[in-house]
Amino acid sequence: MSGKRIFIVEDERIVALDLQNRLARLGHEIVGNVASGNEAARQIEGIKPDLVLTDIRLEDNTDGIEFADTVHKRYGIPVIFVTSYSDAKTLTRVKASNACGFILKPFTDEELQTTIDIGLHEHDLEVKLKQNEEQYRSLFDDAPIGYHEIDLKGNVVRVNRTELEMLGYEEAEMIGRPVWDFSEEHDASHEAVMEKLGTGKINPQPFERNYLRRKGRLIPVLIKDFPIRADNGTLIGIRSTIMDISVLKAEQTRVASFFAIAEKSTSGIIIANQKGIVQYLNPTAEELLGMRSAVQDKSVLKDAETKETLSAIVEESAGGNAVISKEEFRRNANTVVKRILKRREEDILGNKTGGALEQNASEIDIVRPGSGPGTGEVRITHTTWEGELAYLISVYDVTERKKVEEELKRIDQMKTNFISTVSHELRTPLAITKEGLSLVLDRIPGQINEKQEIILAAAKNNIDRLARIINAVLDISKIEAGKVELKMESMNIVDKVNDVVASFAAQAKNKGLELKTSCSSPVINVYADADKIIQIFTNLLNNALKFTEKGYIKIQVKELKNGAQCVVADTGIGIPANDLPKVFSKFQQFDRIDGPGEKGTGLGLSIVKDLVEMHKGKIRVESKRGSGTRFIFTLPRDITEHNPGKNK
Amino acid sequence: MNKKKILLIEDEPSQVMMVRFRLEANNFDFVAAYDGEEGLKKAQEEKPNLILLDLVMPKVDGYEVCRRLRRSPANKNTPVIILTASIGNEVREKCLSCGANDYLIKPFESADLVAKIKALLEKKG
Repeated sequence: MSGKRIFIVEDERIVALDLQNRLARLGHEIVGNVASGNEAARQIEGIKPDLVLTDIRLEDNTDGIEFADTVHKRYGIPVIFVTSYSDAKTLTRVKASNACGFILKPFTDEELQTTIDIGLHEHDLEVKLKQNEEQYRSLFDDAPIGYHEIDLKGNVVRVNRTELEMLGYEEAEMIGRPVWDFSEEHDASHEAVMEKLGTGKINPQPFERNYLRRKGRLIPVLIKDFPIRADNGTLIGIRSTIMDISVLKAEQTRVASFFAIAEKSTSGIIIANQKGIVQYLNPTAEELLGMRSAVQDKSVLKDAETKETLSAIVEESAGGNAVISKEEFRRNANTVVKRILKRREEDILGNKTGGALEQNASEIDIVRPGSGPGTGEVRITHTTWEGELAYLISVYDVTERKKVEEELKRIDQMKTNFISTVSHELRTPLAITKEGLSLVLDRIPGQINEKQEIILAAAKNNIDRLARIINAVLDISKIEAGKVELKMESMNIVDKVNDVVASFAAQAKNKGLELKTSCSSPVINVYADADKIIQIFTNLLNNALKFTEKGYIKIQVKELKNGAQCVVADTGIGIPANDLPKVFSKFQQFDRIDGPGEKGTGLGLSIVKDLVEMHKGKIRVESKRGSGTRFIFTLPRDITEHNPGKNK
Repeated sequence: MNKKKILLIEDEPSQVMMVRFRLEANNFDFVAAYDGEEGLKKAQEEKPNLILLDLVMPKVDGYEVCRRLRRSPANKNTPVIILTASIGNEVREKCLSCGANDYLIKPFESADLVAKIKALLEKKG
């Protein structure tokens, strides 16, 4: 045994020196040798010896036993008494003290060494025990699980900090109270606890209770009981672990709610893993995919034991209604789903419905509950199921929608056919009538008088007008039905303007009007349908010509960064402010002063607006009564980036 | 100078009458047929200098008549003007693709008709 650092407290100096010599002989180091308790206490703090040897009665009347207690408690340094007092009272005090040994004078070196060895060993044990106890205490209090013990009366005798915090009580408030006081199910808990204590049958199977927090809130907990037995095996209480499962419970409720929603959804919902094996299928999906046709008694469709709830998992039922087995049902489901996934894959590969899995829908045949075959729309997205990547397949019954869409298409086609037939049927008699009038007006069958000529000329004008109205109505119908196809090309709009202006030159001259153009450049390219551009300018010039009696009509074209801005301006009668918003409406004709030239259809400006907008341009009108009108519209340079397929 | 002979193939008698008066007044010889079949026959027999052709007719429609004329040795070079009450881009394209030289949409100006006839005859020489 190696030497220790020993501190001696002894008021009899001779004894102290003797002790020091003997200890040195035994190989120890003497780190202090003082006569008074106060002096010792002062030095020990700095020296921190391995052991203190002290007399019981010290100088300045310090009591050695009290001094030993202080040293032990404050510094954790073991103390051994060296004394010649062997009276019963002293011995009793020594034994009750924290000293780890004592030796009576006189003693031999060997006795001294043995006492030191035993004392230090005892001290080591004590330190270790203390450490263990601390570890246990920390585990007991800080474990993330509640713990309490009850006695045979059911009263709480121990409770850890976690449970106190869980329930919101102080230790003193729980200790000594019956454990059922903390349970919502007070009576049931009381009965159960007393039965366990009475019969000694304590089952380690966990069970749930709702515990009451101090403020009245309920905490669902999972409890596990274990018996506490005395050495002889008799039951002396129960210790229980308490787990707070409120988060778990809330999650369970949420999951159950979502599950109920899925079960009741009117869309079919299927979850399949990456291999296409069905993990979940709601009742609507079963119905739509025709998997329920063989099963009539729906009450037997729930599989209560497994959570996979392939609801139609049916064994031969008592009524004999169910005719497919669980396995058969699963096979059917997997087959159908694999077919859906394969179909989708083909659609993606064939690029029928666009690139990604989640884009667009596929169509499948479905069974409509109670009304036979129909059309379903399938959408597939990725999801996770039990932690793994899976497919979420939604199936909607779109039979009705399809029917309506087809009906609309049919009506639309009918309308188009009707309009072109009507147009054709109207034109034929118009052509004959017009030519008849022309023949007479041209004196081909013979001379006519002046009145006859005026009458026939008016009739002919109105035949022409009727023809224009029919054309305009047909144009409008086509535009509104989305039947107008633009033949887009990059072209110089200045050329078109010049063509139109040339065709109006004679009419303008007849009315004594100046027809001017002003283009910012001889070449201004736009991306447009040439015929429609000509129609736009023609309609606007017709309009200007009709309402202008003197002055000029001017067409301006200005190159913009992204196209062109066109203006058709006149010095005519203008449009009253309150009529301006109605300018582009159909069959709006206001304050028309009848004069020479063609009578309008009331559709020209409406067509202009439609055509400009089909080109992704914008049109507006500026006018003031008496001082002319300006129509301003824009045409983009290139609209390919703006969904060119729309007008097809 | 010899009068030029114009064949009108048209199922509407009133329309035929109007065109007859107009063309006779303009010094043309006028022959009419009232359906496609008759039209093809008369085209062979009468050897007109120009054919006016309606589109919507019983038996053989105007497009088909025009296609057959273009295959016939007697009429493959005879100018054809289609007269139609149908409108739209597709009509124009169909008229030109079946081999017609020009077309007019009803109701048309009689002056336009006469001008187109004269232009085509002059071109032929």
